[in-house]
Parts: sequence; C-alpha cells; structure tokens
Amino acid sequence: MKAAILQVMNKEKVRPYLYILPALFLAFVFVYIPFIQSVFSSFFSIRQNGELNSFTGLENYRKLFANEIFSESFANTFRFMILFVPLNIILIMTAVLLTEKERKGNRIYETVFMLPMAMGMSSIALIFKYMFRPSVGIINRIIGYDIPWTNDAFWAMLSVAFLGVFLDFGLDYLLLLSALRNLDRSVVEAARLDGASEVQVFSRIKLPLITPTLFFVLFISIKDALLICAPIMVMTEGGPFRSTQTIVYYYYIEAFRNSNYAAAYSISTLVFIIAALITFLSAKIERQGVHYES
Amino acid sequence: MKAEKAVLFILTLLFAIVIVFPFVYALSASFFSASDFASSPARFLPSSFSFRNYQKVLANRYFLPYIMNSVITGVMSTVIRMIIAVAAAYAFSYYRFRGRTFLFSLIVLTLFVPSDLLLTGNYLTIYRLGLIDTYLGIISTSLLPASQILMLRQYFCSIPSSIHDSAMMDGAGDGRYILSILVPVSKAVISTFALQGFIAMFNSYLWPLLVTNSPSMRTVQIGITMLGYAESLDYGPVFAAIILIFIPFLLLFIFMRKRIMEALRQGCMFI
Repeated sequence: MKAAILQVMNKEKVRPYLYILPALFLAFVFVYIPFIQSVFSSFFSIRQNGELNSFTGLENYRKLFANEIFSESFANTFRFMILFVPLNIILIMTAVLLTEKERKGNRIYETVFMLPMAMGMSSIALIFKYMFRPSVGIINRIIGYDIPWTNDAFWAMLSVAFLGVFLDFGLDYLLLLSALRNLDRSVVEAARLDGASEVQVFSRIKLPLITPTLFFVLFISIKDALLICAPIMVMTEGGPFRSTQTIVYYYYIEAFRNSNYAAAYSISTLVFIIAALITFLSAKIERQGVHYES
Repeated sequence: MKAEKAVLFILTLLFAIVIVFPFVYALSASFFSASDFASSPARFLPSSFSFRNYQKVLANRYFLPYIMNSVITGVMSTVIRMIIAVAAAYAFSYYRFRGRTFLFSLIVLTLFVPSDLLLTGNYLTIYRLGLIDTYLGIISTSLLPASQILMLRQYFCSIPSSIHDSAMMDGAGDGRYILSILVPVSKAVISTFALQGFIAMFNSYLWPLLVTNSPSMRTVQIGITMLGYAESLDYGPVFAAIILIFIPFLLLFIFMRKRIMEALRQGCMFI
C-alpha cells in the first residue's frame, strides 16, 4: 500500500518534467549545443572537414577584421538597416492609422494588408526580382524613369529594402493595428469630449499608449535587418558586385561554399554579440522611456 | 472636412493598390509568353491569353513533388509543434515544480539566438544522424515552439483556475482536461498558432536548402527558384507556379481573418 502511494506521488512529481522534456530536448540539441559549439570553435583553427585543429585565440577574429569582404558585408548590412527600418516603421504606421477604425469598409483593407503574409518569401522575392529589372521592368515603366535598380549599388539596396518592407508588412501591420484597437476607448472618448483635436488625441494619448508595441516592432525590424539573408539570396544574389551581400549572407558563403569554418564561426559569434547588445539596449530603453498602461 | 476625408480615402486606396500590385502583376505575368517578358516598354497584360504556362509547370516532373514535400513537412511540423507547445505550456501554467522558472527561461531564451547563425552546427548534427534528404531533417530545426509556449502559458493562466480544479476533482486527468476543455476554449489562439507554424515551415528557405540534395526532396519555396525556366528567359511557368501555390493560402487567410484578429485581440503577439 505504502509503496503504491509513493509510486503515484513520484509520478505526480515527474509528470511536469515529462511534459516539458520535448521542448527542452530541442532547445539543447538545436540551439544551446550548436551555439556553444560555434562560439567555442571560433577560437580554433579548423580543418576543411570541420574538425578542430589547434587553439589560436583571437587569430580568426584578427583575420576577419583584416578581410575586406567582411567589412564590406558589414557596411552593407548597416546600409540596409538605415534604409529598411525607417521605411518600414513609417509606411506601416501610416497604413495602420488609415485603417484604424473598426468598420465594414476597413475589413477589405485588413485582408489586403495581410496578403504579404500569405505568399511565401521566395515567391515574393522572385516577383520583385522581375518587377525591378532595369530597362524592361514594370516598376520603371510605372514611374517613367529608367532607374538602374539591380545594376547599381544604391538602387539595388533600395529595392532590397522595399522587398524587406513588403515581407514584414502583414505581421507588423496586424501587431500595431490590434494594439491601437485594444486601447481603452473611454480615455480617447474623454479626451475628445474635452475638446482635444484628432492630432492631439493621437500624439498625447494613442501614441504613448501603443509605444510598447511600436517599440517591439522597431526592435524586430532592427533584428530582421541585422539578420537578413534569404530574400537577398533570391532577389539579387548579393549583387551587383557584392553590394547587397549582407553579413549573414557572407557567413553562409564562408560556411557552405568555401568550407571556411573558422571564418563562419567567428562571424556568427560577432553577430550573436551584436544581436544580444541590441536586445539588451532595447530592454533598457524600454524600461526607462516607454509608457505602459498600468 | 469632406476634402480631408477624400484625401484620406485616396491615400488608403493608394496603399492598398501598392500592396496588391505585385500579386496582380504575378497573376498577369503567369499568362505572359517568353517574348512578353522581353518587350520594352514592359507589359501590364499578356499579348494573348493562354494557359500554356500552367500546363508547362504542371507537366514539370518536380513541381507536384515539391508541393507534396512542402505540405507533408508543413503538416508534420505543425502537428508536432502544437503537441509540444500545449504540453509544455500546460505544465508551466498548472504545475508547481522545482526549477520551473529556470526551465521556462531556458526555453524563452532560445528566441534570442538567431537560428540562421546556427546553420553550421545544426547541419553537422543532421548530417551525423544521417537525416540529410529526409522529412525529419527538414523539420528538425523548426520543431521548438518557444514563442508559442510563452504565449500559450500566458493564455492558459488567464483561464480561471477554478475550472481546472473542479475538473481535477471530478477525476479528469491532464489529457482529458487538455482535450475537452483547454483546447476548445483556446480554439482561436491555437488555430492561429497552427496556421503561423505551418506558414513558417512552408516558407523556410535556408535550412531546407541545406539539408536536401536530391530534387525530389526539395520543398516548393526552394523548388520554384530552381524550375530551370529562367535560363531560357521564359519566366511564365515560374509565375504560374507562384500563383498556383498562392491560391490555397489566399483562401486560408480570407477564411482565417476573423480568427487571427480574435487571437490578436486576446493579446497574442503572433510572431
């Protein structure tokens, strides 16, 4: 009898661990172990077959910083970020404000603005690739100028930024839209009764109340920009002359085309650090300056 | 006031047109002949109307296998993810156990490690396990539903615990409670997560590209970039493929719009 009770108690104690075991297993096998392994390996010289050779300290990093393609890719990522992040936030905010009211006519717009989520990344990137062709592309026909989109470093980067905005549009739109709609209506109504103009209602009440979500979208945009790779692979393949080759793209090339694992591991470690810094800084700013509703 | 309204209306319409344009252009281009693509100035509409491109892509011996692979991996990973997510979120919201907070943060922290930078290590793991060119290899890295666990836990905690208590008192086990109360109550949230998980798998690019070698194992998002028509400058079949893949998703989204909005209203971030 006693043994049976003990057995049941044990089972009861073990059960929650069993429920989370699959998630924990995956977290270790596919995130923590490869993460630790790649940071660790970045301090070694590595053979072509991926085996660690000998400890070399910061030698891989020194080589990386002396490498022109690395600094170029780094600068490209930064250029992309500068174009993409403001463009993304401004366009999405505008779309959200235009369709904020919950009424029948806006349902069509909601569905339309969600559409980019429904089409696959590489489908959209392929469509953009053809739309932005120089000379014979449809975009140039519409705007009436012959912009050398994919033949020129700046224009190529801009077209890739447009692609980035389009890819993120649906999700960011939904997040901000629902944040605005979930606001406490009575606060807004009270302000209106007190004679506040629409501009005042927006800047003094709505905007402060949705800052947490806005901040979240901004943070995601910056991280997406830092890590962008696959859409560029499909649209420009990093060209012309590597001008749209970003840092993660460069990591991919070193790891899987050149089998230069030493470079790949040190690039990934550096990007880990930058990503962690961005996360840390945004958490800090958020705690200081962002208004939360209670 | 009227003029202001008209300006806002036109601006909204303009936004919608810009967003819809790539889709409409892709539809139109799916009827283009090879020479239509080379015409200057660029064409909006095809010179003649025929389903030649659709016939071509459907006759391509890899196109349907690509779709099958995507559907199979999408469904497999969605089902596994949802089971893992519900089980873990359930344990985190209804059980008190040692290391609960720590283990929870271990799972949430994975969200901050950019997975594209783990490709090398994960590739080696899958390679050593002999899972290259298998469905399990393709889905392996997207099976951890960290953000869903985070949000489902939050959601489960918002359900009054008295329901759980009385169900347990009546002798319902965990499985019974999850299936007959928790899942029905969280329908909007769980179905939104399932849709999102399916789309994430369906759209993933870098990983499936790495772990598949044979054309018959490729998923459709990689496949359409390799259909091989681009070399002959005949892009029509590629656009036909894009449209064929898009139609079911379009219907799914229109059908799911209400539920997605509902899930968002309940505070689910839908990452």
